Amino acid sequence: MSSLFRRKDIMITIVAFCFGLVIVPYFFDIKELNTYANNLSKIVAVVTTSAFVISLYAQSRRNLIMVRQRSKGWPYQGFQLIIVFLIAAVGLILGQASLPYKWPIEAIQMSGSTVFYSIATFYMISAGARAFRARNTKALLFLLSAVLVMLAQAPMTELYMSWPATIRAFLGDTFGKTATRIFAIGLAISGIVLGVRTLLGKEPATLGLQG
Amino acid sequence: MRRGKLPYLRRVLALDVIEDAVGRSTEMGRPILESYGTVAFDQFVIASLSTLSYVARLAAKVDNRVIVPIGGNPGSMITRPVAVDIVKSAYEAEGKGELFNENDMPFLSYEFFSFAAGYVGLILRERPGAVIVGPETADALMYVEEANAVGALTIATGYYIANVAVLACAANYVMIGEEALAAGAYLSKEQSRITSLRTVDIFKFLAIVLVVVGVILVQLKNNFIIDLLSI
Repeated sequence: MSSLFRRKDIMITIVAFCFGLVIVPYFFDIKELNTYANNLSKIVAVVTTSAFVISLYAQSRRNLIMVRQRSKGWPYQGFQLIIVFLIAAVGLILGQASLPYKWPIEAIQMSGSTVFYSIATFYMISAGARAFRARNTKALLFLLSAVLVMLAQAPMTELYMSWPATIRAFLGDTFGKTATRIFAIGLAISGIVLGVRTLLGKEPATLGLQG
Repeated sequence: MRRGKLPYLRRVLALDVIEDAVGRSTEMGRPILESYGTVAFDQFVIASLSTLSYVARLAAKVDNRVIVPIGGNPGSMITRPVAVDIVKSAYEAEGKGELFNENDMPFLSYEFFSFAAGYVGLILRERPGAVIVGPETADALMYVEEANAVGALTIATGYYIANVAVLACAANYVMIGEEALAAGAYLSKEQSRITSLRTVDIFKFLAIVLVVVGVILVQLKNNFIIDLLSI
């Protein structure tokens, strides 16, 4: 039975059917189709939740193997494993509104995420330090534009001079907007063509197959 | 288009160097690390899965490992089984099924920055020879910079304009927007898929004509094109 669903033509048919079921009610108000499209969305939500269980199993198995084999970084994997099951157990026993359940999420996980986001600034500085070198004429122009834009962005500049803001507006409204729109047009057309290729089975990787 | 003749294709350097990147990693005795994006199936994830399929097959040919960190969004749990299938079947297609290890495709977390922290940790521990960063957002720069710190060759996907600017500074090679979407067709070298890229060029040319005509008409106080596109 599973081999039947591994057949490329069966998969493409299912993909095309689901595509039609979602796209047709978007353009035409057909009550029955709307119901089916909504049901399809619910099925996707259920599948996502089920996939969470599979992911948790896969991750726990990997962590256990790493701890057992004492692989590089195994204490972190062990720590993660303990925390995941400890929080899940606390949530199941005491409920999601309980302090022992909320505290690790709000005090550790959320603050950890915020710290990690702020680290991006240091990555930007190190990337900038490597990139902002005037190796040729194009790089020199790029560097000058960047310096002018950054100068205009600084709040202090506004107090002393107005010309950097004018240059920033010119660069943004001409080169910046043009590049953004070219980018958007290219993406939109390529996205549609990729969609057609997928529906015709010309992107087999999407179905987990070799192309 | 005449049958049997492939249309001219502009070279996409970021895709052309993938083979060299895999070879370089293998010579260095290091694995390849590739991610395919954090969200559920969107056009960029679909395109990145094609690249993953190609990379996994190249890695299988030279008996190397492909590490694929997965997560960053609840949607990534749906794409995971597909990605696992792709890499597994790539190794099997090369007759190296025994080399496939599902533990090399860890699901790190569905929380965005927890995933990012895990990804960076993976780069530092595994020290890959090449890192191919998929359509990631604010976290892409972190991966590329860490990969650079461990001496890996970096190929990144810039899928929105601000990301392209940042990755152009940090990565060795960048796939810019539509180049990433064309990856599957470009790497396959199949005529039927490559011709679809020419279709993109034709429609882009039409879009340019529409823009130019629209600008001229607006100068003549005629809003025909604007009204047409506002339908």
